[in-house]
Parts: sequence; structure tokens; C-alpha cells
Amino acid sequence: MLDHRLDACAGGFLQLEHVYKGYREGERQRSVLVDLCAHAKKGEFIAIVGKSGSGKTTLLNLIGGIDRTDAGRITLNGIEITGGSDDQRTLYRRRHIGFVFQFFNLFPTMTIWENLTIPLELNGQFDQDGVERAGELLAEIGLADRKQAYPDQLSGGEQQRVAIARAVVHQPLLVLADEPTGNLDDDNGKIILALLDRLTRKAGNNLVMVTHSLEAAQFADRVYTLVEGKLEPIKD
Amino acid sequence: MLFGIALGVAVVIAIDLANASASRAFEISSEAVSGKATHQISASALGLDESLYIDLRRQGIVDTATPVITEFLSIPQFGDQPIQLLGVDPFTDSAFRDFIGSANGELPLGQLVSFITQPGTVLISTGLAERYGVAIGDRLDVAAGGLESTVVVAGLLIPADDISARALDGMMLADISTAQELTGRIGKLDRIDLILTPNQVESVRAQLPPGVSLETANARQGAVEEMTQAFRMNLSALSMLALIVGLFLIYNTMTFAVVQRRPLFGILRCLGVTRREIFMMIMSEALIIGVIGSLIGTGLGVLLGSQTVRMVSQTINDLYFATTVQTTGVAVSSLVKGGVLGILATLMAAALPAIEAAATPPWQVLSRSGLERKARTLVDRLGIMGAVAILIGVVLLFLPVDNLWVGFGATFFVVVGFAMLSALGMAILLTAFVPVGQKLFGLLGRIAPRSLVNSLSRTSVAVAALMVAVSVTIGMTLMIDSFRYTVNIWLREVLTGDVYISVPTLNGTTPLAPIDSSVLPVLETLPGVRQVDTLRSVRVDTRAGIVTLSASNNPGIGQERMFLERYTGQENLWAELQAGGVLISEPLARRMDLVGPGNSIEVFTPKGWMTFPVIGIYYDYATSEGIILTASSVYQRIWQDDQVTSIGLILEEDIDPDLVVRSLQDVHLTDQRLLIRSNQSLRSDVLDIFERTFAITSAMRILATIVAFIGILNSLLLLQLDHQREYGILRALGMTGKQIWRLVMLETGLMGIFAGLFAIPAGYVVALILIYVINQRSFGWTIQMNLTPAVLIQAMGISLVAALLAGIYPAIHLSRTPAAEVIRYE
Repeated sequence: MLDHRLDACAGGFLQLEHVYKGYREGERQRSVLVDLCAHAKKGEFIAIVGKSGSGKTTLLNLIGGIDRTDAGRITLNGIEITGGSDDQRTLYRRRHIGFVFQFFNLFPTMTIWENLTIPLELNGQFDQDGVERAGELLAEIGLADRKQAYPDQLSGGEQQRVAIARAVVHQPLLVLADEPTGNLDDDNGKIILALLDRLTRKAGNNLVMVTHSLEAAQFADRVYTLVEGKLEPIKD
Repeated sequence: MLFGIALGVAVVIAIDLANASASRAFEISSEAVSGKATHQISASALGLDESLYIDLRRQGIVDTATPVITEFLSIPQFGDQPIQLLGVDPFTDSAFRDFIGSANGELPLGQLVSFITQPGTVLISTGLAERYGVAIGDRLDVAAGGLESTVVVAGLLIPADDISARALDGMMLADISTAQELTGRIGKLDRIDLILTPNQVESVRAQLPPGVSLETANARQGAVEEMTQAFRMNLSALSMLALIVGLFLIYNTMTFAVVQRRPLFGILRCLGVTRREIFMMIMSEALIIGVIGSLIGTGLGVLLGSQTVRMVSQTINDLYFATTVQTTGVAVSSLVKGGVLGILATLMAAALPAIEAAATPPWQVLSRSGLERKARTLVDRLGIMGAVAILIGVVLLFLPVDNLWVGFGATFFVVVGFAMLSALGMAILLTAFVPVGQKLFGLLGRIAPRSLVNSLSRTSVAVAALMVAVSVTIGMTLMIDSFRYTVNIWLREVLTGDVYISVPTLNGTTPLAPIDSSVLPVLETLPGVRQVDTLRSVRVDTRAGIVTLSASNNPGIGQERMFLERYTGQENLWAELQAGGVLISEPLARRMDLVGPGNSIEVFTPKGWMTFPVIGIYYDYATSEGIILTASSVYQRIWQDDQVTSIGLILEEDIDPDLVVRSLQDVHLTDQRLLIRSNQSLRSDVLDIFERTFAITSAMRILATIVAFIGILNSLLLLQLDHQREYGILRALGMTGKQIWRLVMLETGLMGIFAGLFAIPAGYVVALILIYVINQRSFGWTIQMNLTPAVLIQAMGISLVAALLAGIYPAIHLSRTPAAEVIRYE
């Protein structure tokens, strides 16, 4: 067990070292992640499965710098995410992370194009290259002709395709996907997973996906389950 | 929202209380002075000869009659409050008034005896005595028409009831002969009060000599009521404004409340809740909010009322008549009216959102962007409706009716029209602003305007509400500034003398007390004086009530007036005035419909009713009641009176007016107290009165702005909280807390700027209506529009600052909310 822990914490492109995270629930402190260690090599696709409430989304938020660890260290490409201020974590997230949410989280009052190009604008990449890249992505997800449409004019699957394109348009190091197929039917789910897999691998990005579905997890290089605050390998 | 309603209701109640109080105060003091008299005999301007009273009694023409003298006194022991002197005959007065010797014996016999037997004694009420620590036997210094005397308090009147207490609070009773001495009207009476049966009236009238009239006791009261009605109506309209701004904000808030709960309504409809039930649910919420808001507002209104009553009384005192009744209590009807109005306004404002909520189809919930697309289509339609509303307003303005409410209706349509147009204007301008925004503020400058356009359903209402408030502020400020500017020009033209001398007055209107006749010869021989102009002002009866008639000895009077219309050449004016023509002031001309050539005015003179041709109409802002200007020679011939009420000295060029003022103040000209002022000082006194007159208007404007500000705070807070999830996503995508802060401030700042921009034309139109329609119809004054950029910059500043201040809390809240917390909501 000790060896496994040492191995898990050993140097990787993405590295989680002895991460602790808990929440207060009334009078009680509930530990969600306990001494969690893991790592991933450059370009790896990791899937994390687990029951509802097991802490999958918490783990994703910690990696993305949205939330802070109680203890432990997370690094991406040698940059420590856990130590910085809120602004530093935000800038790190802006530049190096792409998010895909279960409920798409597109801006309802912005067009598809506006939604897609937000990360470019935030990163100061809304130049000719960026615009071209966004155009190509839009074509790749099959929505080139729906540029001026609003999110609610698209189907769920189409909206999630836009969300995936938005997550990769600024060429982040890591894409974090939280139940990306949780709100879709089987057919659309498969299309989304294939797209996610294709776009991240094509760019050489890392992908960490949390999901309920073991079937969805099969796309990943490695699959872990989150049990009692720790990651247990299923497919390694 | 509660505070918005409360403040709106409070303002309405405060103004209504002030209006009711002013009206009641006048009624109480008039009733106290008139008593049970059915009729009054009075003479034009100079009072009645007391021999007439003796003759009427002796000849048995009247049985129940009593002589009266009334005058306002200044008594230093009683502070600034003017005290009404009522000079009566204690033996005959009991049939008319209950103050002395009534059946229940309010005045102890000993006190009554000293009052009747000792000259120079007066009676005051116990309330007044207690308030100022005055006891029986105390001496009081009194001044009337510049004459200073001392009186002794012979007794204290115990008021029979509350009304009497209020009436007596500002009154002093004296025997008729004491009153004649105090006022310098030896051998004169102001009027004779009578109790006549209808068939006696004509026989009494037939016995009266020329220049003496018989009127019903309430005829004069009616004329004054009519005069102040426009003023009170303007105040009511102004107070309604605060409620309208409040109404707009309630609508805004209720709309938010409904829009945010659309999914809930959809589910409820699915579960079998009917449209009617949803409608009733929203309306019940509104009713609860309306009731609580109105209750708070009623309390606030009573508190605020004490201030407005004072301000309104002061203005009425300055413009119309002296009021001695200070408090009239809180009228329950005002409270009920304000409360009911608040509740109705809330229900009215909530009705539209409630209808919208009820229209939510079961389960199928209109998506946010769907709502925005609907809003954008609606914005175009609103634009057209806005243009139509403005058109209706303009048509109303040009309707050939003089009704003030039509004028206010037009103002309402114009303001609402501009508010409707503002949504369309915002959509167009903000889209055009995107590249500019990007250049100025980078990414945020691009996101902020786009986000505002994309949320038109929310942003347009908030901008329209702010625009309405700011435009009204602009309109009122422009009107007051223009008025000040006009009065300044007018004063420059009219006040051509270097030094002015008159008797101090207790209210702001023209001095009426004659100056001691020994003063004029001294001034005429004063070294350094080039010219002495005199003016004799008296109150005369016309067919439209009592007005001031001023007689001037100045041949250059034609050059010193600005004319609305003149029906003779400037060079002939003086000759025509001397031949019996008169100039009348604009308010009088408008009130009596005398604008145009060939008109004449009837005046009651010592020789009876006489007709004077109107040879010109001049601008005058001294009083909205009106002035008739005639030549001294004509006045003296008809009225047989050579007294003067004000003297203007024109000095040689090298003489310093202040030195002359000081030397005249040092020399003992007469025993009479005189007000000797330089041109500069008189001008500043007049402008002080002007500022006082507009104090209430300014206060209302500030209150309306506060209501609007609270509303805007509310709207922007809701707007930003509504965007909370989107800000959370932006945070997740990498926007820093500072950027969120800047984005929120940029959005609210842009809303403030656009509201300010749209408010400028709307405010200008409101000013035009206030100046050229409302003011002219209300007071008969023509005001020159004075558009200063400062007003517009100030309005833009108010709008921007209000919006930015309102954005601070949401900005702090949103920039500090951790992204994880916001995203967790999903």
C-alpha cells in the first residue's frame, strides 16, 4: 500500500500529492478526499468513476483551481496550483485548463460563436489565429452553420459539443470534464465521448473525466474509482 | 422595494398634509376673523371712514353690525411668527365671535373690564402666552406698517375648543380704538361685519356711498382659495411624481420576481394550478408588500409632513397671504389617501408581471434566450409605442384647454414615451459601442455592452426607471434655473434705482404700508440724489378678486419694464398712463384673459367701479396674483391719496449707494421703522424669497431622486444576482475577481451613462412643458428658458454615480463569491 502511494505521488505531468479536502456539514466535518495521491503522464486520458457524493466533482474543482485543498499539493507541468492566491489560480485556470460541465454551462444570452470564443478573449488570443482555430473547431463539431444561434436553439448533444470546443479552443494543457454525458442519451453520449477523446488527443492535451458510467470510462487510458476519499485503480 | 413604496407614499402624504394644512390654516384664520358675519362692508384700498359705521347704526339701516380692523403685526417677543391683530368693538362683537364675553365666559370678568377700560391693552390666547412666557400685565413691543408701539396684555383668552385654540394661536385682540392707534388708521375701519337676512342685502347696499361695497363674507376667501389652488395642485402633481417613479420600480422588481420563478410557475401549472390562481398568488404578494410599504410610508409621511407644512406655509406666506395658524393637526384623510394610493400603485405595477406569470404554459418554460429574443422584438414595438406616447403628449399640450391636469398628463406621456424609446435606443447605441468599449476597456469593454444588449428584458427596465428619475430632475432643475435667470434679468430691468426705501412687510409681497409723509421732502433735497421715484401700492378689488394697484411718478416707467405686449408706442406710454390707461402684469392678464389689444379692466375705486383701458402687458414675477400699474397723478385724482409706499432714489454717478444707505440709516428720518436698502441688497432679498419659494420643489426633487436611487439599487442588484451563474462560469473559465468587479461596474456604469444620455432630451422636453405650459397655466408667468451645460453634466453625473453606487454591492458580492459555490448550484 505504501509503495503504491509512493508510486502514485511520483513525478508526472499532473501530480496530486497527499490531498485532503473536507466540508462542514452543520456541526460535523465530513472528509471527502483523504491523503489522495495520483499522477498522470503528458497526454493521458484519466477517467474517475464513483458513487454520487464520493467527491469526484470536488477533486475536479481542486485540479482546476476552482476550490482549495485543505492540505496536500497539486501540480501541472511543474506549476503548483494549490499554493497560489485566488487570482493566481484563476490565471492558471484561464490559461491551462478547459472545463466541460454536465449541464453545458453555455451563456444563454450569447450566441454559439460568442460562447466559443470567450476563452480566446480572456487569454488575449482573439486574433486571426484564434479566430481561425475557433472556426475550424466549429466545423469539426458540425455546427459551422449555427454560429449565430443561441444555446437553447440547439439540442443537448449540440450544446455539449460547443462546450467541448470551448474547453479546447485556447489549447489548454488539461481538460477537465465533469459527467459530460450525464445529461445526454446513449447515442449522443457516445458522440460526445468520441469528440472529447479526439480533440484532446489531437492537441496532445491531458483529459480528466469524472463519470458514473463505466462504459464511458472505457475511452480512458486509465480508470480509477474514488472510494472513501482515495483513488483505487480499475484499469491501469 | 418596500422602501421605494414607503418613500413614494411618504412624499404623497407629506405634500397632501402640507396642502391640507395650508388650506385649513387659511380656513381657520378666516373663520376666526370673519366669525358669524354673513356680509362685510368694505371700501377700496384706503379703508372705511368710521363715521359710516356710526351713520349706519344711527339711521337703523343695520341692527347687527360691528367694526373691524385687521393687520399683521411683528412682535419680537413672539419670534418671526406674524401675529394677526383683530381690532373689535367688545360691546358689539360678541354677536360675531366667541372670543370675548360669550355665554360660557371664557374671559374672567376682571380681565374683560381692564381690556375695555384701559387703552393700549390687548388679549392673547393662553397657548401663546404659555409658549412665550407672557403673563397678564406684561408689555409687548408691536410693529405694524413700520409703526412701533407698546401694548399691555390685559387678559388671556381660554379657547373653547381645538379649532379656536389654533386660530387664537396667531392672533391678538384689541379694542377698535387701540387697533386704530397701533396701525396708524385713526378714524378708519377695515370693514364692517354684518349679519343680514337675504332681503336686507339690497336695502343696505342702496344706502352705501360710492366707493363702498357690500359682499358676502366668504367671497374673498373663495378668491384666495382659487389663487392658491394652482400652487397646491403643482405640489400634488410633484408628489405624485415620486409615486410614479416608485411605481416604475415596483414594476421592475415584480417583473424580476416573476421572471426568476417562471420554471416554478410552469411546474405549478403542470400540477394543476390555474392561471387565475397564479395571477392571484402574485397579486397577493404585491398586496402584502403594498400594505407593509404603505404603512411604513404613512409613518414616514407624518414625520416628513412637519417639514413640508413649514415649507409650504412659508411659500404661501411669500406668494399669497400671511398665515398665522401654524399647526392644523394631521388630517386622517391625507393618511388614508396616501396609504390607499400606495397599495393601488403597487397592485397596478404588479398586474402586468402577474398576467405574464399566469400566461406561463404548463411545464414548457420559456428559455432565457427565448425571453431575450421576445424582449428584443418587444423593444422595437415599445419604440413605436414610445413615439406614439410622445405624440399623444404633444397633442395634449396643444389642446385648446387650460386644464392643468391635461398639462400633467402630457408630461406623463412624454416621459413614459421617452422611457419606452430608451430600450430601443440602448439596443442600438450599445451595439455600436462594442468596438469603442473594446478599445477603451479591452475584453471587458466588449463583454459588458454585449451582455447588456443580450439581457434587454432586464436592463431596459432598469435604465428606463433611472432615465425617468433623471429626466425629471433635469426638467425641474432647468425650470428652476431658468426661473432664477428670468427673475435676475427682470430685477436688473425693473430695479433701476440705487437706493430703495419702504416699510418692512411681514410677507414677501409688495409693501403696502405708507411711508411717513415727512420723509419724501427730506429725500428730495438730499445732496447727490438725481431723481426720486415713488410708488404707491394699494389693494383694490377687480372682477377677478383683489389685486395690487401701484401708482408710479416715474415717466421712464415704460423703459424699465419688459413687455409681453404693448398697445401703444413706448414714447406715448407715459402720456397714456397719465390719461388713465393702465399697464397690467402678465399673470393678471392671463388670469383675466386680457391678452390682446382693446381690452380694459374694471377696478373698484372710491368713485365706484371704473374702467381703465389696458395699454400694455408687462412681465412681472413679484406675485402671481397680478398688479395694475397706473400713473401717480391718476391715482391721486381718483383715490384722493398722496401717500407713497416705496421710494427709489437714483443717485449722481459718483455717489456710493452703500454710503447713502448707511447715512440714511443713521439719520433719524422719522419715528416709523423703515427698510432702507441698496439696489444690491434689495435684489438679494428678492432672490432669497425666490429660493424659499422653490425650497419645497427642490426638496421634492431630492426625494424623487432618492426614491429612484433606491429603485436603481434594487434593480441593479437583482440584475446582477440574476447573472450570478454566468459570472460563476466566467470565474471557472478564468476571469479574476477583479475582472468580475470591473465588469459589473462597467455594466452598471454603462447603464448609468445611457440612462443619463436618454434623460437629457426627455428632461429638456419636461423643462419646456414645465416652463411654457405648467407654469404659465398655473401662475401666468413666462419664463425664459436658460439651458446651461452644467445642468446636463450634473444630471449625467447623478445618473452615473447612482448607477455606480448601486453596482458596488453586487460587484463586491459577485467578485468574492467562489466559483465553486456558484457552479455547485447546477
